[in-house]
Amino acid sequence: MKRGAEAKRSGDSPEGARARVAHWLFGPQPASRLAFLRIFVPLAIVGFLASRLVHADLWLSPAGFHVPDLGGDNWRQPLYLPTIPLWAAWSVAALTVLSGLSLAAGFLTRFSGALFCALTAYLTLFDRLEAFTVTKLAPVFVLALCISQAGKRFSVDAWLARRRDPDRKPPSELAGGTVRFFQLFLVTMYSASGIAKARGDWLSKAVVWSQLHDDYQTAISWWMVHTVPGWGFSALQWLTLAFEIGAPLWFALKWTRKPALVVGLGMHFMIGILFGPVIWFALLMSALLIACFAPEAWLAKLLPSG
Amino acid sequence: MRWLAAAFGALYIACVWLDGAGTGLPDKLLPLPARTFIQVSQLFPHAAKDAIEWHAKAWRCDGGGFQELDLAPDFPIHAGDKENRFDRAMCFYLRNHTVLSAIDEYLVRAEHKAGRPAIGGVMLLSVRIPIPPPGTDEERYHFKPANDYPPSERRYWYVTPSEIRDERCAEQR
Repeated sequence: MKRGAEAKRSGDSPEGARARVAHWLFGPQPASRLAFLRIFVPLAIVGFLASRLVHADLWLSPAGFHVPDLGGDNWRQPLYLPTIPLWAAWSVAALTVLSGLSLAAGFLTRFSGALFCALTAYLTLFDRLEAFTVTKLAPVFVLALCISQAGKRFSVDAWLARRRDPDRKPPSELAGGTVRFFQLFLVTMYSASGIAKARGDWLSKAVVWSQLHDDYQTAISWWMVHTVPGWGFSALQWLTLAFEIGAPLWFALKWTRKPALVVGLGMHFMIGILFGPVIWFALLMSALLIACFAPEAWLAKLLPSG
Repeated sequence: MRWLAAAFGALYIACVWLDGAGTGLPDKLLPLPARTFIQVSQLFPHAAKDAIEWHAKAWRCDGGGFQELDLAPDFPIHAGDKENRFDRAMCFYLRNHTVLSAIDEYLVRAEHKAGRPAIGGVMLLSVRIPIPPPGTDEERYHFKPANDYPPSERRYWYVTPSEIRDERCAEQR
């Protein structure tokens, strides 16, 4: 994925190697990748939080149930934060939604990103009962977007800048550090998740089958429980395991990247339709997959330059 | 500045991998609040043996004894699935008497505040519904009162002491 002349100029000296690493890490990426992340990452996070924020009074204020201060070294209560007054609870809820949507729209991108990052970090630490994978990832993802050039294209900020200066040409490429971060994070997370599964029961027990019988069950998962034979669930399990453990390889090699993208999107589609509330996690991960690894032509169709 | 951001990003990604791979290294190095943000990759590593439900029975002050309590009005966030606060609290703290007492107090207060029939305490329990082997025909999952399950599938974790139940009922009369 080398771009530009800089990579060609660099030799084998330490300076040359450093320049190559710097170019790979920070070199320009299509603006549509960063814009896709900026639009869909906050939307998935706000979507996840919505069903909780509508009960902000019971979540954040003394009106609801809260785990008392347990003190000491307890991973289930990493930090005790006291409840906040009702007006503050609703203010936090409103600001979270507004800053998330504002970031997605690319309006005051840096400011709304910083605010959304702080609020999602607060909400995650406030209460272990509402800390899920999506909320634990949210502050880090939003921070990465906040420090990037994510608002420079396909955004309200870009539209306003063009209104002020009609001669301004929208950039087709932007500094790529944030895109690289998401690419590396994604394959690392899949790989770690695959290893955790292999160290758990995935090599010896029917894990996928076993997870389809509780209150996460949807009409589709119940239909699958009835119609898909046992070996079908085994096949799904092995495919998932192979995809996740091998993700760094599948996405590094050019000829396996597209099939891996399709398998990954298929996996998250299945998660979304089989496990009810997990749909927001599935949407978040699907957005990351598309933004990070979809061919540029696909992204150009999804975000046409006009 | 960009190298600083890259170093932070690399450290975060490394911690996510080390945690998921089960090395335990981030647990030794990071403070608890920071650990929260890297514990994201151990997703469904184990097979479930049972589908677990969490129930509460309320001690009715009108002499009705313990009766199944509808938790949805008091725990409305994701009522009906395991992302509900009551389910999460029971799952995380089922052996922590301080937290179970706090649930007890909250439920008594919330029921009283909502003007529902007075209760003096609660009984908190889990129901473990065995998961059949692959290929077994079964009915679609739906939540049922605890008493609809055989006693062998029910387990009691907390009961408000009788003297406290009597005291609370007397206060509410």
